Order: sequence, then C-alpha cells, then structure tokens
Amino acid sequence: MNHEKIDRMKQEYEQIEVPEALKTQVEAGIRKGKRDTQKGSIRFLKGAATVAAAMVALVISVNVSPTIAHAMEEVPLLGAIVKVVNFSTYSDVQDDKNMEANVDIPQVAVTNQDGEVLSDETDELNQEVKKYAGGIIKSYQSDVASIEDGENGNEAVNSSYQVVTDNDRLFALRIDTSIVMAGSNQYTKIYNVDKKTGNTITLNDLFQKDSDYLDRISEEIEKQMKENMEKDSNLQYFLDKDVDGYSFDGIKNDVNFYVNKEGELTIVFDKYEVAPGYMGIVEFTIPTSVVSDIIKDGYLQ
Amino acid sequence: MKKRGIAKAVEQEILASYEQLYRLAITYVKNEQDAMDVVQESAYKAMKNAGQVKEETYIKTWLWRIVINTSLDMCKKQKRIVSGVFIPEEAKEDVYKDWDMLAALEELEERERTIVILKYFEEWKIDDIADLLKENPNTVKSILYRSLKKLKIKMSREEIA
Repeated sequence: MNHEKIDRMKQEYEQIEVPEALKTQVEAGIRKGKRDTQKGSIRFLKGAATVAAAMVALVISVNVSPTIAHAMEEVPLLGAIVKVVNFSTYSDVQDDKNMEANVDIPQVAVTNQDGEVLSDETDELNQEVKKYAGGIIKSYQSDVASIEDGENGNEAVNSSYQVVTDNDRLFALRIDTSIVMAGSNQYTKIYNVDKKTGNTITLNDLFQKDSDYLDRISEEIEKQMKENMEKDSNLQYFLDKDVDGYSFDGIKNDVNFYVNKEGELTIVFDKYEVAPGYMGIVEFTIPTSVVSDIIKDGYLQ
Repeated sequence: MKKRGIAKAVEQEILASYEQLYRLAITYVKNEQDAMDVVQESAYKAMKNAGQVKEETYIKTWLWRIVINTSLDMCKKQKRIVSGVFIPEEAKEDVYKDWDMLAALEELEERERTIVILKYFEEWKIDDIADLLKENPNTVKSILYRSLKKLKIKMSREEIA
C-alpha cells in the first residue's frame, strides 16, 4: 500500500506510548479473571456490597457465651435464634510489596428457645463461613507469593460482614469482600438461615417443590433491566447478545439473595456479573406478587 | 482439558496484544487512565469467560470485540461523570497534542475510525474486520471507502481489498 499519508498515520499510531504500569494491570486482570472462573469454593465469593439504609446494625459481643446471648434476647422467637457471637480477623500487611488484607470471619451460634446450642446447625454454618473466608485468604496469599522481589502487587483485600435479615422467619448473614488492585472488584456472599429449623437454606427452599421460581424471577429481572435502561440511558446491563457469553440468561439456584425489610426477595449480583463494571453491585427486588402462588408459607411477605 | 487449553491461549493472546489493545482503547476513551482500565477490565472479562470460546481461531476477534464493547461502556461512564462535574475541553484534546496526523481520525465516527485502524494500522483482513464487527465484508469496504474520503486520502474502490 503506497499511501504516504496512511503510512505516516500508522507511524504515529505505533508511537502512542503505552504506560509501563499497564502490564502489571493486565496481569492482575488475568489473575482476577482466572480466579473468578474457578467456580468451586472461590466462586461463592459473590456480587458486591452497597449497604442498604434499612440494614440492621449488628452489635457484636466478643466471646459472649450463647447462654448469655440468649438471656439478652427480649422477645422469644418461633424456633431457633441465630446470633453472631464472635469474630476473628485475618490481617496482613506487606509494605515492600504493597499488599494488604483485612478479613473478618464471623462466628455464629444457633440456639433453641432454651438457649441450648444446636451444635449441628451451628457447625454447619460456621464451617461454610470459614471455608469461604479461607478461600479469600488463600487467593490473597497466592497473589502475595506470585509477586517477585522488588515488584509491587498493589492489592488490598477487605472483607466484612453484616446481618441483612433478621425477622421472625429468617436470618441472613452477608459477607462483603472488596479487592482493590488497579481497578476494584467486589464480592458478596449471603448465608440465609431458617429460624424455624436453624438450617442454612438456598433459594429453592423458599418455594414449593418443582415450581418454576427460577424462570419467574429471571423474567422479572430481565423486565426490570429493560425498564431501567429505558428510563435512564446511563444504566446498562448485559442483555443484548453483543458480546458472546455475557448476556443475562437467567439466575441459578446458587444466586445471592436476602429478604428485605418489607419481606420481599432481593437478588444480588456481583460486579461484572450482569452489567458493566461501572454499574458495580446490582440488586433487584422481586415483587412478591410475581411468585405469590408458589411461596412456601412464611418466607416472603 | 480442552477448556484449559483455550484459557491458556486466551491468556497468551492478551499478553501478546495488550499494547495494541491499549492503543485502540485510547482512540475511544481519549485518556491514559481510562484506556488502562478498559484493557484491564477486558483482560478480566476474557479470562473469566474463556471457557465460552469454542475454537482457538476465534480468540483474537472475540478479544478485540470485548475491548471495543468495554471502551464503549467506558465512554458512557465518562458521559455520566461529565454531566455532574466540569471537565475542560482541553483535557480531551490533550491526548492528540503529539499526533498531528492522528488528529485527523477525529473526523471519523467511532465505527469508521476502528475500521481504518484495524485495516491499515493493525493490518487486518477485511473478512476478519467484518467478523469482528458482525458486518458484511462489503459493508466494511464501503465504510472504509467513505472514511478514506473523509480523510482526504485518494484510493479507488478496487484498491480496498
């Protein structure tokens, strides 16, 4: 191609300077992407965490024994009582590598009306939480290990928790994790406990057996996405089939959820999960009318 | 096994081309920091979704498409921020200060500019550009012809191949 003008433009284009830091950022992006693909233990690091105003503030009494915790309960509940009774913190600072982590690991106690600890239910939840936090810590440590001497990782991991539901029927513990590298990523994991039985439940437990709750909720979310985009052109979700593999194609049973103060189901998605990164964490409240005929009694209002 | 092979290939493709991807991104978002964010986010998305690529030969167009879409998302975000905060016009033009020739690209629409860049700076084949943009090759040629005209570069239709 013998076109002088194009050749000169090409020369200039090739001289556009690429910042040195880009390589580190790209590598961090690759690492993060790899980590999020591993759908196993780390995958349940989930969507991110804005704190809704309605959220119940939780006061943590360190090392309060379950019996004392029970004594402090004023109102007897239906069945089990779930409380965060203690927490430990994993803290690490590596100044030379510019890496930092602070991970709070809550411990709960599930007790019956008489204040006796239900040890199976308590252990089940605590084990899950510990495994989850362990995954966060492990991936941080492997990031630290992968940094060569004299290089900076520029990574800060922070994980905290809160109780997002505590009504007559349900208790939900939400763990919010942010990983700040050159950009930032946020994850949420929510554990829901049925206070009637003390068991940890998943989405399907809220609905009648064999009901089409996944389809109905997915359709409702898709509807809300479309409405939101129409109302505000700045809002965007992965709905059109623009990029292979990014289109929202329904929720799965392992999706993060909690029940809000009004008793409505709220679905929580990770950053990047259903929308571009700038949208951050995305939550959808599902009107109870959408699923009213398939709700199992007492979970949603 | 196969999936792991694809993921490895995606990673290699990113590491081999991130500087080129950055150059394309900066023609969209017009500043260093946002272009870096675009490339990082694209690398993240590509690795996270590598399992969805069916054949290794698709990786390259798929990756560039992610960068283009992520750049467009970033442009939307910029608009959103700009509506709340005052950003002087000069900041936007600053990026072209050393590029007399490239400034001409601003005459073009995003799509036209991308086609010119891919065809003449990155030396892609028309068919591959058509794949990337999900367009008919003839449409790509027409856009290219129109773009060159805008740039006041004389080239016959036959030369565009």
